[in-house]
Amino acid sequence: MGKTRETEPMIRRAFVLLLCSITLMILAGCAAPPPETEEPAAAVPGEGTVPAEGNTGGITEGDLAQQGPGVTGQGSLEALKEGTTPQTGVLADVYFEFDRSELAAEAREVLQRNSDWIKENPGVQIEIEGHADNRGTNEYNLALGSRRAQAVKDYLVTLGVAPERFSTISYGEELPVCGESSEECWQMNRRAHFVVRAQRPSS
Amino acid sequence: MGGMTAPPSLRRRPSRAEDAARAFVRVTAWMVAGLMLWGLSAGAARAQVTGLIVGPGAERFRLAVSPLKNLGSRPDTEKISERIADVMADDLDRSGWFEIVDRSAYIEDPQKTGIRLGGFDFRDWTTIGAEGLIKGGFQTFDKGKIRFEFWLYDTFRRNQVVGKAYTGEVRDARRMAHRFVDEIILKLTGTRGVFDTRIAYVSTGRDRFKEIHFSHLDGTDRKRVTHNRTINMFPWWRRDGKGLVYLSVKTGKWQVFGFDLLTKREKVIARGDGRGQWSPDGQHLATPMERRGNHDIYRLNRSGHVVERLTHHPGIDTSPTWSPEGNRIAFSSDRHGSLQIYVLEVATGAIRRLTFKGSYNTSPDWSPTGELIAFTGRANGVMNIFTIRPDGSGLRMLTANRSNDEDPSWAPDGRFLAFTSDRSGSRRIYTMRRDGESQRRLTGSTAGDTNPSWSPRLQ
Repeated sequence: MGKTRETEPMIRRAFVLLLCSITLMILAGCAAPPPETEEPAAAVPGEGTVPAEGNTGGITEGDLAQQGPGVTGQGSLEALKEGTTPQTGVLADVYFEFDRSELAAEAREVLQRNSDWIKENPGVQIEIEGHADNRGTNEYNLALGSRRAQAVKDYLVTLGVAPERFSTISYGEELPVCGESSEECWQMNRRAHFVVRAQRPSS
Repeated sequence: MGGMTAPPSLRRRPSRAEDAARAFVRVTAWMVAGLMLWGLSAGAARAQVTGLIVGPGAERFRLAVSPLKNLGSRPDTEKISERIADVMADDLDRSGWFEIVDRSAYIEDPQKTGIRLGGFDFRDWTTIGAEGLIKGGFQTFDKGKIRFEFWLYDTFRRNQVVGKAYTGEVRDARRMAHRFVDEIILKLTGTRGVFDTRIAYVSTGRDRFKEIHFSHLDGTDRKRVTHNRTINMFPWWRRDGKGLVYLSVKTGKWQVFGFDLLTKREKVIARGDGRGQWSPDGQHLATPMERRGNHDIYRLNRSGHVVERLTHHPGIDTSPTWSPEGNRIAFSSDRHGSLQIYVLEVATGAIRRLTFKGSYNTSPDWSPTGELIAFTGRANGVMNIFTIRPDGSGLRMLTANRSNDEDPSWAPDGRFLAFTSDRSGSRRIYTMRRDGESQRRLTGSTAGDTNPSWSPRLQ
């Protein structure tokens, strides 16, 4: 119910990003959706710059430079340090049922797409973060997050990705993306999140 | 002391007959020493002693705490007189064993009467219903030094129960007051109080960083241990009270750190993935560690090397806590589907299930006096604090507030617990007696406080 509502837009968004980034790999550049500039604030009397109704001349557009995290995603701990919400990159988040770490059909579909991208980009390492909602104790949720991250990793390995390409970490309930006490929010927090890292230097 | 009843103190009437009978036997030895001193049988007719029990619903002992007399010639610019009396009154109230007579009812002027026997009139106190009276004085000296003299009087027998003098720095004045309260509780119950202790906890700031702090029970003298602007969790006191362990992700992976209060140094002990606890002899650390997504309990030596893997199960094993003898470890595990508490014999590795009721029982803490294990359990859809005996009998729910009450940590006397609750909206640290009475909040001003650990007694 809430889950479907919440996850579908993300899947779509992730898919757009995925397509985008595949193009990116070829063209080494990917235009973000053209943003609209904000409407000017209510006109100040006397300035005489109010665009006539229906006048499109007030909208300008331009390309933005590709932002790194749009592809790589952003680590939740880095986002915490920057005071932002962690961005999802080309690899879409997957979501879990309450107190479970099994992968639903929907999550497996997302992971199938994620694995395709990972295989097409052999030069990168993938960090998988496991998260939980804030019901239950901090300590149990830390373990639950580990279990979720591991379940995701194990599935991606069965899809043919080498296990050495992954690292996992749990943040338990400590780094939620949504702070309210509602099922919609909890659902968004019960997730595995991906970050694409540069190839580790061999040492 | 043993069993589920709260420790004895003086009461006019028994609260619950069965408790009274058991407690009466237990406290006989104390009565000889303590009751003679307190001797409430003398005095007014209302001071007839017919029982001595503190428990749920029991009448509390009425105590007056007089503002302190300034015994020196310097003016009391810092309002020590009233502030220190407030500290003692707050402690005594928090214990749940006392009812503090409101200061507005006090008759005498503490600056014009004496603090020793003969220097004041007990009738000024019996008139307002005080059964006991704390009086005291102070004198300030150069270089921030202060001397206190505190007395507890029995207002009906008109004698002194305990008197103590303390000398030290003005900045430690509150600690001296806490110590006197601990002394009073020792005199009245046979076991020293726990007010000169600290509680460590995790504070979440508005910036969402989680840092380790500790403060006194009344929330004062708050000190910050970590400053790494990441996530730090599960502080736990070393058994000597001079250091803490905690889990931190400051380096990008989870590690157990030790912090020494004397040297103010932090060092990595080992990789870890949950709440670590030092063994009672301080030689070993029990901690959960994750391998391939699975948490098991490990025993490490002081330098952080794995001595032994204690559990081997694909279930989540977490929250290890040592028995006071160090021969057993309680922990929580979902190995049989639901999350339950188990007890492990360290020598043999034998594991016994302790809890059977409910489906989410976790974060056990073994009482320092050994007779109870406190834990967090889900009931009615919310978390509550429970206690159970190590043999699995005597399950008892201490909180029932329809809020989430989690992460119990025992006080060093085994009679009080600290825990986290979201009853006020955000998560805060509270204390309560082990019978669930006298639930009080530690003051806090951050976005949230969690994971309390109650220190041993300070030296």
